Amino acid sequence: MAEEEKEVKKGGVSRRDFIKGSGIVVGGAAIGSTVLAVACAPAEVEVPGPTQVVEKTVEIVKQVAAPGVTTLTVNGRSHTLKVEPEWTLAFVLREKLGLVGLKVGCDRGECGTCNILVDGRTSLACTMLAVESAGMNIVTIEGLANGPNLHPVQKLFLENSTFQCGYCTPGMIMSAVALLDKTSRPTVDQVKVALSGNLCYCSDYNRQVNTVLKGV
Amino acid sequence: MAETYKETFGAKDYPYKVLGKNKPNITAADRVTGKAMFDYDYYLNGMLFSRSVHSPHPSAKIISMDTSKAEAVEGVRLVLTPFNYPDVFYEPRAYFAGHEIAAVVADTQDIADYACNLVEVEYEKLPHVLNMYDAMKSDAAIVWPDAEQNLETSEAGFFSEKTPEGLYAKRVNSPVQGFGDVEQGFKECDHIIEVDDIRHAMQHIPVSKGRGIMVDYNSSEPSKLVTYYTGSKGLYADRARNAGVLGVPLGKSHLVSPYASSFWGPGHIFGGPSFERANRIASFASRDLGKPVSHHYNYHEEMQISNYWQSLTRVKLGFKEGGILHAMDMTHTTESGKNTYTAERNAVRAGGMLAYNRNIQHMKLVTRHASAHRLIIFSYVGYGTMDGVFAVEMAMDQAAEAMGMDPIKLRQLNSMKKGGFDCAWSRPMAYCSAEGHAECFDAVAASTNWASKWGGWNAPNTKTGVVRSGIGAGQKTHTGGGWNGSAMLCKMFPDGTFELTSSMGDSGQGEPTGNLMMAAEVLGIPYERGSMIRGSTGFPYSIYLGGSTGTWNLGYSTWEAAQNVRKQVLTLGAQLFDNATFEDVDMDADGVFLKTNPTDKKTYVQCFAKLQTAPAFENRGGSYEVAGYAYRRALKGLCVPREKGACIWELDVDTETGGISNLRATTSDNVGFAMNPDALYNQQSQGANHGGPWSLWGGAVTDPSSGKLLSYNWIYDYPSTQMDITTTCILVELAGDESHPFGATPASEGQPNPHAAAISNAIYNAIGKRVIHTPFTPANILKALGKV
Ligand code: FES
Ligand code: FES
Repeated sequence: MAEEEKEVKKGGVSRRDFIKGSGIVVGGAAIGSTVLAVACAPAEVEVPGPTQVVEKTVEIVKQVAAPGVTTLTVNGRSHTLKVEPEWTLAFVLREKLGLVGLKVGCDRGECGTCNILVDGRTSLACTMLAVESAGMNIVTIEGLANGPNLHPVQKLFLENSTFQCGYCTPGMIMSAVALLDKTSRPTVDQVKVALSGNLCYCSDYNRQVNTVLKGV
Repeated sequence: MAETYKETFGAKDYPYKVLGKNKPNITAADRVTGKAMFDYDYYLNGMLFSRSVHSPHPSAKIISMDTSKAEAVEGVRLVLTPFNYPDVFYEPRAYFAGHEIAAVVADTQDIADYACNLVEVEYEKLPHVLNMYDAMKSDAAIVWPDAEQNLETSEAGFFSEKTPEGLYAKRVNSPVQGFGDVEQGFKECDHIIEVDDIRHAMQHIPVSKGRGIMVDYNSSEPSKLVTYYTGSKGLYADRARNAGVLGVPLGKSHLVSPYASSFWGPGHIFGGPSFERANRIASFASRDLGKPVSHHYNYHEEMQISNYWQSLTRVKLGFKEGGILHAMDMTHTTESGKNTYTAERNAVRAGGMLAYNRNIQHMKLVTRHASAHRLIIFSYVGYGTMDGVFAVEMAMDQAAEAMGMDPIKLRQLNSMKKGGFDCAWSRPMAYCSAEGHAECFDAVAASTNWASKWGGWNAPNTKTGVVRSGIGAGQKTHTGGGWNGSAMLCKMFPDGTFELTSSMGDSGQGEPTGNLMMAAEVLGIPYERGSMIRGSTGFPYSIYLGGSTGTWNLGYSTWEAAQNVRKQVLTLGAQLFDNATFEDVDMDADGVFLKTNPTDKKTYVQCFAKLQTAPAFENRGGSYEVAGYAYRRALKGLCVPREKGACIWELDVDTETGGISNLRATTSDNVGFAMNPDALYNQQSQGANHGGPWSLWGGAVTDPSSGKLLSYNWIYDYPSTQMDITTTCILVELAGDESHPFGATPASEGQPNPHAAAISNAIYNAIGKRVIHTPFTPANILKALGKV
């Protein structure tokens, strides 16, 4: 028999709530993944320590408190634009600057699809607020090639057809660039750690690891 | 470390300049630079965003909705509900936890998300049933209002009256599929094996790809009323489906999809409905607001789309002495729910009819589906087929054991044969145009040293120690490769470059590359001079295409269109030689030449100038083109090659923890002619890397009381982060489909199909226990060992 019940729908936590909750949540997520990375990283792979992450979090909170016009340096070009405090860097780069080569998968720091380089370090644009990246050197997939000349890592992925649909590819290439910038001949473990934050739905992790292992 | 090894068996010395060589994917440059535009990447001026409100209840009537708070949010443009948009939602009803029951359109996605939470809904909760096993019980809640029970038998056809050539020429409507007299057939058998309660559950890899649709009513596209931006592999079919929502004439609508992320079936690249309301919400909202509306799935919806589906199968096999499969009786039940379609048919067609059609004389296949209050979205690849392959392969292994035969030998004796009966996708009668399972098994057996490792049926009893190694085999069969035609336009220009044009979508498996290679081969022009325009219904028709199936299917038209161009160019060139016809000349990278005197060559600029009659224009041939168009229709006799291959898995089972480790897959396919070997290796390797782990993973966690998905996290998703399977990929180049211009056959979509079966058979070889329920989690292994 049908059970009558009046109920008000309660939604789950949306991205807006998630980000709106303040930079602390972002910092918390970063600490979680840092610990995970430290646990599986070989000694020679550099990962940010918890102290750096906490400092960063404090910085984010300060910036959120003072929103307004922000200058972002993206792919060597400076863009001054009005940025709302809750806007993620992924949102601004894609929707305000038109850099749609940066793809978004989970939109919550789990898949690595939105990976970019911020001051040379891989960063998830979906869990980073745009205001926190002011003054930093941001590089997206669009910023790798030098005119018609592909970046060596792009060439590696191109020549080895290291993708299927290619949706995860920009984020994965950015991880590989960060690794190969540090070491042009990485070990298997280094490659695996470097790519471990990049989930791929449809291609083949063996091919991806072996491609990056070829080095530049 | 996990690696991929590549081997080729039976390769011949082909006389081709382009085909047979590894070519990087033609779309690679776009994909590695971020230029590849997926549907989520289109931003139009003034575009709005919609998001859905979801029911928390698996079965409920919606009594009322208060949308006033949502509508009051700044930036909200429209709230669609079953009450003001019955054509979008059909009825005020939820059929699964997470069902879309309303939608908010707003200036940004964040505003829409926020406002969705403010929609107040009054529900009348109704009884529900959350899985197929409960749904089949007599006291189960009935899912569909007009149904008397949840279990339904799919309408099918029984094939009777063989022609003198042995073909089944007539179909009569019947709730079963098959032919012959199964009861009589089993009476004629010497060995009968029946395996019941084979359970297969398949969990997709839930990695979101921002899928959905953007509808631009009052399209900025000149002369078009609506433009759809989506991720599709069948643009014409999807345009028809989308245009049907608002009754827009096809000629006034347009669909754009240059790149599709790889969420087959469910993610609508095969036109699958996923969250079916996306296109309806975006279409009505765009029409009524006069703005482009983007409706893309959010994280939670993507997780739900990826959630598992399951099936239950009984297989009875009858053999004559020596292992000749004579009769088959199979009942396959698929879990069904919102948005289920055709997968159960595919399961029996591939696993039953097709895989072992060599000797079989009597066959009866029953397909059923049991509805539950779930969203069931079939397939990433495989499209339901792997359920059937798993079940039949479980039974074949047990039959081999019962008869004391090598399980590979038994499969080789009975596997698909050229001219054998094929069920095809939706039409009843077709015949296989190529075979090769036996050779594929030889290849994987040789590569793994099966003969010494398998050790016979007593081998499990001889294994001791905590960790025990096992080896098992499975047959790869797939119903991919339809016969509907596709069209191709080929053009050549006076500078010796060429271009293909097709509506073809692309999810990266290599079909644009394969077609370009074929055209280059026909024209005698370097592949690098070719380009392809595609991904829009502004271009020639193509069916739903994917991977090597797409290369195979569209290849007929590409070949014909390129031949057409070739003949025209040769005819133009021949005019530059005395008394020559097109048969006297040939062409290469630089121009047209007499076969008898290849050094006397005319440039393409000179040849194309012959298109103009006015002498003054003769040297201005650079502005012309030669074009050829071809549309390949159904193949005569409905011969389809199908996918065929084999695999062997090796692994270690820890008998104390139930854990499986040290996984090695060896996989082979008869590809006919490997036109682009690396693209095929890529397909094989990804198939093993997905098909295997799918069967090892426990799947998503759901709330037992509502079916609501609880495991909202991708990081701990085993299949999506596997990096520890060593794969050996083997291309077997036997006779492929003779009707194909280059003898190619499909070998991509079915790649994940056999791996669960081979893993189960390897587990048996290790521990002597049959595990016929997926997933092969430690808990299930320990249960089989009697330890829990
Ligand atoms: S989209 Fe940023 S991590 Fe997934
Ligand atoms: S290539 Fe498709 S998700 Fe990685």
